[in-house]
Amino acid sequence: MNAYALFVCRLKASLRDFASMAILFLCVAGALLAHWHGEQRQQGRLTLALVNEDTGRMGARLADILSEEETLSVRVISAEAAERLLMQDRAQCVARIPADFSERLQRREFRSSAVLTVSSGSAYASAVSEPLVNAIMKLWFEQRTIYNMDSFLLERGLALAPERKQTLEADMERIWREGPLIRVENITLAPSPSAAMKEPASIALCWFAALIPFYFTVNSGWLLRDSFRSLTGRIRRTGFSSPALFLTQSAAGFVLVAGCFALVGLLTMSAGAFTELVPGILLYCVGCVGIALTLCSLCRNFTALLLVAPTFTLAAAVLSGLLMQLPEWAGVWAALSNILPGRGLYEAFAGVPGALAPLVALAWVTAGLLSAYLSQRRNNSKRELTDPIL
Amino acid sequence: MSLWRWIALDLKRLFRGRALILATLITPLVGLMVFASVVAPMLLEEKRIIIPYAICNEDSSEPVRQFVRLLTNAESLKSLTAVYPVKDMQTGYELLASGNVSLLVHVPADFYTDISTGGNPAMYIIASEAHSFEQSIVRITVDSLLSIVGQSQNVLQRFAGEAIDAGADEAAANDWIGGQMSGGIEEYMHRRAALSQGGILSAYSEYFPVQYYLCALFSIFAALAMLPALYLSSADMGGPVVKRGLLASRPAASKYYLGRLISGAALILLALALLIPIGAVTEEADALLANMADTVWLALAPALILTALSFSALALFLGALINRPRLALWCGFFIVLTMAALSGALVAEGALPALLAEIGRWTPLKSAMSLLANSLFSLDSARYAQDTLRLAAMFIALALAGYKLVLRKGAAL
Repeated sequence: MNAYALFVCRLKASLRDFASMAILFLCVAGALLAHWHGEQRQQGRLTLALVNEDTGRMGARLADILSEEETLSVRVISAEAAERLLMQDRAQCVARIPADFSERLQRREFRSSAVLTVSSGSAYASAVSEPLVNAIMKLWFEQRTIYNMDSFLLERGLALAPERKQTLEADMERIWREGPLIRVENITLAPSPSAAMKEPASIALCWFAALIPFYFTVNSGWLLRDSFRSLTGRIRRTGFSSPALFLTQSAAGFVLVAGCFALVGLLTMSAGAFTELVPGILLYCVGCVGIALTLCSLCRNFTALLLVAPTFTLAAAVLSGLLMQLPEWAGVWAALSNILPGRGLYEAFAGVPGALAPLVALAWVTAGLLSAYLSQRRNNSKRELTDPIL
Repeated sequence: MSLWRWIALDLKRLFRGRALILATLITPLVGLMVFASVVAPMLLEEKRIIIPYAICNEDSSEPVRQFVRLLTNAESLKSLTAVYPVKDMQTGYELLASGNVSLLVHVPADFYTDISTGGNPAMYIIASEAHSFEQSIVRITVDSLLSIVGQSQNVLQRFAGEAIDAGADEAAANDWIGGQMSGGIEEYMHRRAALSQGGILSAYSEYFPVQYYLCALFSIFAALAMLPALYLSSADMGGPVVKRGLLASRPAASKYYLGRLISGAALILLALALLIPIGAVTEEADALLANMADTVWLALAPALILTALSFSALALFLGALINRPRLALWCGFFIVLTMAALSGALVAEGALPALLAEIGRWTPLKSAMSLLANSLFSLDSARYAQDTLRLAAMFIALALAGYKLVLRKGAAL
């Protein structure tokens, strides 16, 4: 029996374990989804959902004017679809154009001519609704100018011929469409060499790192199988030490997770930046292996493990700062989280790798091996007389 | 065996494993503590985002100064941005590089000259790629502002030309333009009045985010607490209980089924009963405790019992369906995960696609979540009755299906 053979067998078993592979797949998918969502936000596609209930023609003209906006995506949709977009954070606000919109503008009233609905989480509604306000003001300005021009000419005993009025209205539409003569240009600065060295870790890596302790924990379920317990006895008789056995078995999960880290990293950031994070990621994985072995040994059965794993993953992800930055008032949690490998990874991602990370990883893997060893010894000496069902 | 012996035996088996019972009862408490101490206060914090930007106006002409004033005081940016006027571009770039500002708005020296001489006037919004979103936010307002002010002037000129063609005096037409423009700008200052507020739409229905996620946590942990009963049922269906013929007769199988249903519900109920008081440590404590003080218990107690029974029935159904305990456990776990995703426990219900949200409404987890939220925070008797009926219907369907399977597996059918 050699270490390589044991490792390969465990790797094959892990790959055949549909349930835990599904968890690994979900971790990767969740991480890439988080990255995609973050990118969508960063690209600044701001959307205004327009619900046009106007029975006149001004509502349609408003939509036309808004469609000329380069910086804003305007979607004319039903009220129900608009609300859904808003709640999904895919639109920043919903504007409802009431049925009497045209009538009001023709009376040269612009106040309360549209109804704006925002979502509880939207921080940009006022900026996104600005083009809407301006478009309404343009239409109001048209009506006001036509009316005032008529009065101006009437005072002088003059009048515009109907066809001239029509030409004027067409010209106004053209002027609005042509847009302002003044250009506003976005200039994106090239990253400076020092900034390039500090390319932040992608959201995907943070999410993957936050979710992966769950996989590590359930993938270490081999420790709890009866078949593994009997295998341990046979292997030990060949002179193979228990810690070496646990390490070779854990290495399979380690390799799979490291591969997935590489996949997520290379898909979402440059190879150079990812390479710099590799030491931190490997230390994190070592720490996770130790935690998984400890939890498995403490849980003693798979049901308990399946109950503990999600809570531990959630708590570790929140406290280590991988999912959300801990606020200042959570100082106690931040201090306590130094014992979690996730904290070291978070610091590595932030470009300031802490000196504690290798020690934490080493401590956890030692604790894991020790607890697994003790758990095996206890099981062997007892040879369970208890109900094997749970 | 009598029903009571089945229940006693089940409870003994469920509660014998110290690690298991600790995992069932303690992990929800740990999860809740983390939620209460870190996540809930963050959810309660106001979502306020401030974009700091520097503005460098190199054009000293009065109209441009006015435009800059209009921009810096624009209502759409006031609540979102903090503006820092800088004297030169060097200072602006330094602020950008140090990260003190996210953007630098540059109005070049010949800006107004370009406008008046028909040149090619341009202004610039400078930012790094990481701040492209903030760049878009500020650009929307700048674009919009330039558009309304500049184009209105063009419209008026076109009208004045028409009036002159119709016979009006040129000087009077020019005066008219001036009057119209200043009147227009005066009204324009109050342009936000064009919108009336339609309110705030929340993806969390009528609940605050903390209330919503608190009930989601209760329901998820209640669903997870069914796993021990699921494992036990699956092991029984493929193991000695069936092989020894203990469920071969209908009365025996019925007693077994009822015993397991009750013992499974007892464990889930215990997890829930521990969670509710701990929920009071969250920032929502006042609302929770005030509601729990009086009659809410009358609504809460049946809701908790029905929730526990429904998840226990689901566990029995799955356990009777899948005879391999480990596989059954995984299936149970993935079902809980799927229910949580569809019910809006992971992502707020309102944010889910309509079809998924509708499917989610027909899962026990969503009904339990809604029932708990209604009992704890906003007791609406019509909603309460609706949720109770829906959950009761799901319980009956699951219980009947599970019972049939147990009869079949035990060869009593």
